[in-house]
Amino acid sequence: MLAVDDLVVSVVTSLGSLDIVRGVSFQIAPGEILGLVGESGSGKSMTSLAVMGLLETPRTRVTSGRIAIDGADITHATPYERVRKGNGDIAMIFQEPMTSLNPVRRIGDQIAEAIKVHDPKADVRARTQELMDLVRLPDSALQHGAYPHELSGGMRQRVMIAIALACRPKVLIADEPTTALDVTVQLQILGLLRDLCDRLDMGILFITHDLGVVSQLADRVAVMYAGQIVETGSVRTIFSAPLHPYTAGLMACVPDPSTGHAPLVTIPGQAPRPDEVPPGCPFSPRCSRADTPCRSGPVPTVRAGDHAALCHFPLNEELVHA
Amino acid sequence: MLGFIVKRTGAALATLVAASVLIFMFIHLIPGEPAAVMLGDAATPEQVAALRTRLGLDEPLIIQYFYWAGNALQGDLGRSIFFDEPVTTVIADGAETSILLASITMIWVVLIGVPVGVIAAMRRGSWLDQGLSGLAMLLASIPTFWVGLYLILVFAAQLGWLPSSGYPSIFDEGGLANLRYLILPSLALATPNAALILRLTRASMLDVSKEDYVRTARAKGISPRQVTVRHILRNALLVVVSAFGFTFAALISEAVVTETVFALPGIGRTVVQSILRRDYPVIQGVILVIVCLYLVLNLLVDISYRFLDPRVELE
Repeated sequence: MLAVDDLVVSVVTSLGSLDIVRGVSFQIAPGEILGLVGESGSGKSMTSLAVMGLLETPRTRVTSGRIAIDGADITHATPYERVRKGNGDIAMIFQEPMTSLNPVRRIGDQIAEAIKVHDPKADVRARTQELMDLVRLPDSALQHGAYPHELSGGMRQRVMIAIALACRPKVLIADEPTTALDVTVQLQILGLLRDLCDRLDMGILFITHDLGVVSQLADRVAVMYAGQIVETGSVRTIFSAPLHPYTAGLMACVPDPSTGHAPLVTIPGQAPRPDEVPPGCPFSPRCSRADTPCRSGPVPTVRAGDHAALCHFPLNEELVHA
Repeated sequence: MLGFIVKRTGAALATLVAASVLIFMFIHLIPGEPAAVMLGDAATPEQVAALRTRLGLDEPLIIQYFYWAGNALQGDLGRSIFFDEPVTTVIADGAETSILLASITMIWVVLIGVPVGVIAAMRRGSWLDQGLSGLAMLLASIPTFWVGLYLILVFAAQLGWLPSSGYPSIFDEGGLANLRYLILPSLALATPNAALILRLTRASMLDVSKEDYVRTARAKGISPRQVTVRHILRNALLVVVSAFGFTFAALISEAVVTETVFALPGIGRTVVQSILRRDYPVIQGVILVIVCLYLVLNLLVDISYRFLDPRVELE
């Protein structure tokens, strides 16, 4: 199980040190998919890179909080350090399958490299075949020593998943893995991820800005805004009864085909830059429900079952218990 | 692969034809009567007329070109006016020195420029990187003749380790030990070029290290050294290899100066002397040979590029 506790990630800029992830906590159980949703700049990618140990240190680094996998602290560990300590069981796939594979090395070699890091004595050929079957890559994809540019985007993302699975991960981080793909291919990749999650009993941290994708794929959702998780809960409860006005705003933005050509809804204003986060609730300047308490001081956590949000004036208030 | 080579060779040949026209026309850009200019003030009208006939200057221009180009294809680049020898013989006399000088220089450029560039990139921002990058900037901006003079001053005049001038052939007495005559000149010639390759390697390494696939490689958990060698360096070298073709062109023009400073009997010095002697057939011949060398080298760079980068299509 992956546990992230009160994670703070800071970046050093010309304006000084800025916190871009501000106290994020979540857990992912085996076989569970957590959808981490937010606009660009909300800190969701930084959170995932921090968990993976791929932050561009020393400019960007974890300044407080703890990341642990099955109890082992991996807070500042790079993937190399994790593998050497036997905690190599987190893997990641990225947004751009087109640029995420080395263009001048054969695909087979790139998969083999990942296999050998985690098990130098592995039968590379058999294991490659096993991984290709898992991600449903046709044998032809590796024939004649193919290079990445000879494959389609969807095939390349399957190769990326195969590379990620080489370490038999307990947790897979997927950072917008379908955003760059065609819609039909998107669905195939989402189906594959769901299937792998169930078959391998692997947790997935699925990062996206697309609520529609989350509703189809995830078990639980965490909504990020300005470096914080503002609402978290199971997919069913969040979509049926959101507590945080930002979550409700995001859902209103998803066009509903049944309403015909209704005007597209947007949330007024834009997310604050890390150097301009307002005091109090960071969403208050854009929130229609905001009042005096929202503009200063700490924001309370409200709960409804497994469902929690950071808000003074939550929606669906009747569900909230003290 | 074969189709790729044929296509690139065809392009090189087309360039060669264009270059040959320019080189041929060069003799007609001389103001006034070329034969009279070549022979100087003391020449009699009879001598001028004889040279005109010998150079074929009485024929129409187009005929002259085909005559000249046809001979060049058969390995006849005309006769030197000064030496009264075939131009090919004059070039061959300087070829050994120049080829060895260029080769040794390229070895320095690769052996110094690439590894030091990699080290600077891996230690980006450190005092070592800043020192090396600053030094490279300085060395790239110093003219070769000045570096050459300094090397002579220190290693030849003061320390007496290496000879300062001349070059006896390796086929003469002394054999391969005669190569020591080329150490200082090649170092002088290599200095600015190695500095440029160093900076290019460093910049290219830093560019590639920001690529998504380098992040993928890091995510696999392989060691930082493996990330650098297998993923960053391999791709960074694509840019550096293509720069070798340009480095060679710079080398040729700088070799002219270096051969003069070190009194080397190379093609560069032959060119300088031929210009002073207005020995136009030699100048034309040397330029034609240099163009051919340049084209062959760039063809080799293109072909090696195909092996390094599978994305270069085999059209």
